[in-house]
Amino acid sequence: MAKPELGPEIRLSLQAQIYPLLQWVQRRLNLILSAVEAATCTAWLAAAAGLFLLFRLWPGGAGGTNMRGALLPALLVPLLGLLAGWWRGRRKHLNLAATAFWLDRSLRLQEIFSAALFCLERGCTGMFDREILARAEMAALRIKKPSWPLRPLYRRTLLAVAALLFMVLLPVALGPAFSRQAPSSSGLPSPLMDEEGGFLAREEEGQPVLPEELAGFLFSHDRELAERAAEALRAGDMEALAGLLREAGEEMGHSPAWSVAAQELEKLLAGGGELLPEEEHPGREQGIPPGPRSGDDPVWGGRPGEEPGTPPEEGWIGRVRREGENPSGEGRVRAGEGSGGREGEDDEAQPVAFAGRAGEEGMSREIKGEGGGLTGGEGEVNARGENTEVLAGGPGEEKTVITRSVDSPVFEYVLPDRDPRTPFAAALPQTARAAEEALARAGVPLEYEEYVRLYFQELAREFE
Amino acid sequence: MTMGETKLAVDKYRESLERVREEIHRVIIGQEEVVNLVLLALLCEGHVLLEGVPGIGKTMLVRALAGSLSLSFARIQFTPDLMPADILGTSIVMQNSKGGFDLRFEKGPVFAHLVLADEINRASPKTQAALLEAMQERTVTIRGENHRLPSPFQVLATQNPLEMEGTYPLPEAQVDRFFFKILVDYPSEAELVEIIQSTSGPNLPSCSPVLSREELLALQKAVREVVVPPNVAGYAARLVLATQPGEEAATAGIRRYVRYGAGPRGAQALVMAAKARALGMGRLNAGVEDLQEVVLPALRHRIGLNFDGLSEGASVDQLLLEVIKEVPVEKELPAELQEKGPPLDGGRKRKDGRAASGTRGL
Repeated sequence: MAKPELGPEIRLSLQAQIYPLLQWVQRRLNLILSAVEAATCTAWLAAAAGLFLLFRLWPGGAGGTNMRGALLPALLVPLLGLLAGWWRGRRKHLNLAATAFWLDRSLRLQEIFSAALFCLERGCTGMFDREILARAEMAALRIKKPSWPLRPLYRRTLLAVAALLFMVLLPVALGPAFSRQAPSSSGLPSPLMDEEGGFLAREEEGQPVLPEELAGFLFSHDRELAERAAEALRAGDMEALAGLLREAGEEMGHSPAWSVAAQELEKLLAGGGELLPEEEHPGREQGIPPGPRSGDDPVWGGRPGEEPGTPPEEGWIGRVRREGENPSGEGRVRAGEGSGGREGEDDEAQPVAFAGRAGEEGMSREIKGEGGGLTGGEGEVNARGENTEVLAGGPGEEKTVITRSVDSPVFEYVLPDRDPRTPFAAALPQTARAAEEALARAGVPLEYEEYVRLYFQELAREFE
Repeated sequence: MTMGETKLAVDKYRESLERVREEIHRVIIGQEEVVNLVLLALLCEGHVLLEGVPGIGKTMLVRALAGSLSLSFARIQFTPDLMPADILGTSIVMQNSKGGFDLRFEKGPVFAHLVLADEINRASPKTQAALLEAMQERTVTIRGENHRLPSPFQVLATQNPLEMEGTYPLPEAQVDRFFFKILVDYPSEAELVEIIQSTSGPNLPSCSPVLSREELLALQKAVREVVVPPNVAGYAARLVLATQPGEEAATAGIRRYVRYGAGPRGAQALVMAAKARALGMGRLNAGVEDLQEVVLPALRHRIGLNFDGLSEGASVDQLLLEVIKEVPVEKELPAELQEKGPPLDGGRKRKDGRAASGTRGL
């Protein structure tokens, strides 16, 4: 606003009181506006960048990227927000008239400064103009400290800062679940997906993924479930598939057999392979840890819910990795011979849960049981290293090889396709993610992917 | 006028108004807001439409005002058979000194400074139009001859909102010519007791003139000199535009219930009333509060409800309060620095639920 030509006495008083006050308030207000806009924009964009980062690190999210690639935009975006906010604040800058009006309103001055500026603008031609200027000057003298509009301005900024804090605290609130799974999507290799012949690689090559393969991947520990799942996939019966996934998940999560099995194996390995036959250990059915057992006992042949004495071919183990018909019903199970080499991998069929991947050479112990297939046999323990193989079955019959690692004794029997050198804890998220992506690529509806996710979550919980 | 003289003049204006107010209150018990608004209209040379049930002092108020001022006063009781000539005057045959006859214009009651048009809605539209034309033009044309009305000239019309049978409601265009529409409410219990005591004794209170015509004219001139800063004028314009249902700034209630809103005459009345209020409070510039306080009396009769508004019983006063609440005081200020208008009731609700017209602090 151009200063009008005034008499010397008026000009002097205006220079002394009104204009300096208004210009000082104007500068402060504009600074506050710019700072608050900058802070608000920075906080919002930082929160958005945090959200972006969260999605990048989220298990099953846009994995496969390195942290640097995700962090760089996350740091750049708030910087851009700072600049954009400052620019926005500058666009909101007040002129002198608006400043005077704000001062009038905030101090309840009945628009005296606005009127004074108007009188100056028109050259004090009105009857009351000089009196108004005099009153404005007196008001200017009384003003010591305007009440800066910080509260409404802070309100916006605090909202943005709260959003930013939420983004920071969200991973913390999620706890170890997030931090444990995060590395899986932060650049670690995913052999199942990326290796030659993996689902992703084949998808990129345009090769279809067969239902049998997908089902075998999902239910690698239970061939019968795998077959049923393959049938369901072929038939497009997603509800049946969901039921199978749910059943597998419940088995993992709620069956006490896992804990019993773990304890049995622990004792077996510690005490030279003393295992009770199934009918001699009814406590297994209730999930009660068994006591000491004789060396002639088989590993086990039943599962919770089955009556003691269930024929082996109908039992849990009997389902595992059956090869061909077994009319004798002795539940012969064949897996890789646990002779310390990697023979198990050479089998025609893929290894399954209780066969497992045969231990690495020099890294396994072998326990061979002879006798009535799964319901009997002789236990033999051959300590060769950190891994143990348990064979069940009679002489000349098919044998079950059970391999476990020292650091993850029970779960060695789960996810047998993984590289034995990879710890179970590291393999589980990869496999979970691979399974979810495979399901997604196979066109399975999202709700069924949830079951797969649940399945692996239960597995992880069991592992803990 | 020097600054000192200005200050003295302003103080004098304020004292004069205070004297008139006190004089009126010798007769009129309570009704302070009504008295203040009538005085504001007087300072702005604006006509007033007083609406209220019978027997609450409307006519008495006008009489008291006339008695407080050294001005001529006329009362016209409007009836269906009242003719325009009864208001404006007529030419009559008079014998001159030479024994012949001349036509001489005999001025009607409208030629008084203060005219009380009692129950204006009972007269025929033709008679109403004659009066309202005189109100607007401040001249009367009889037989091709213009007769200027005296200055100051103010019409204070009353109407009864209850007895609508046999009445002729004022057309919107004519209602718009009133500066204020003031709702006169029942007195409170304390006021009623005081009224009983003061009017049932042997000596009836009366008013004596305390303000001359010249002083009143000076006051009216001073009101026009009151400064309205551009942002305050802009706020007045936004308030008026917000009452128009087709405008972007219109509130939801206005869009839903209003057929037409206030026009430029409403904006003029709003700003003039704000000026008068500011001067009455000893200020030389009008502010936002001045505008907000006179929105209801200045705009309520310039807003017409549509069918929805009439059928659902929408209140124009509530719609205006919503306008005050919603319209930003300063458009140029960022949203963070803007303040909302006063609350809808504003602490000014009356006991019957109607919003009071405002002249707080005057």
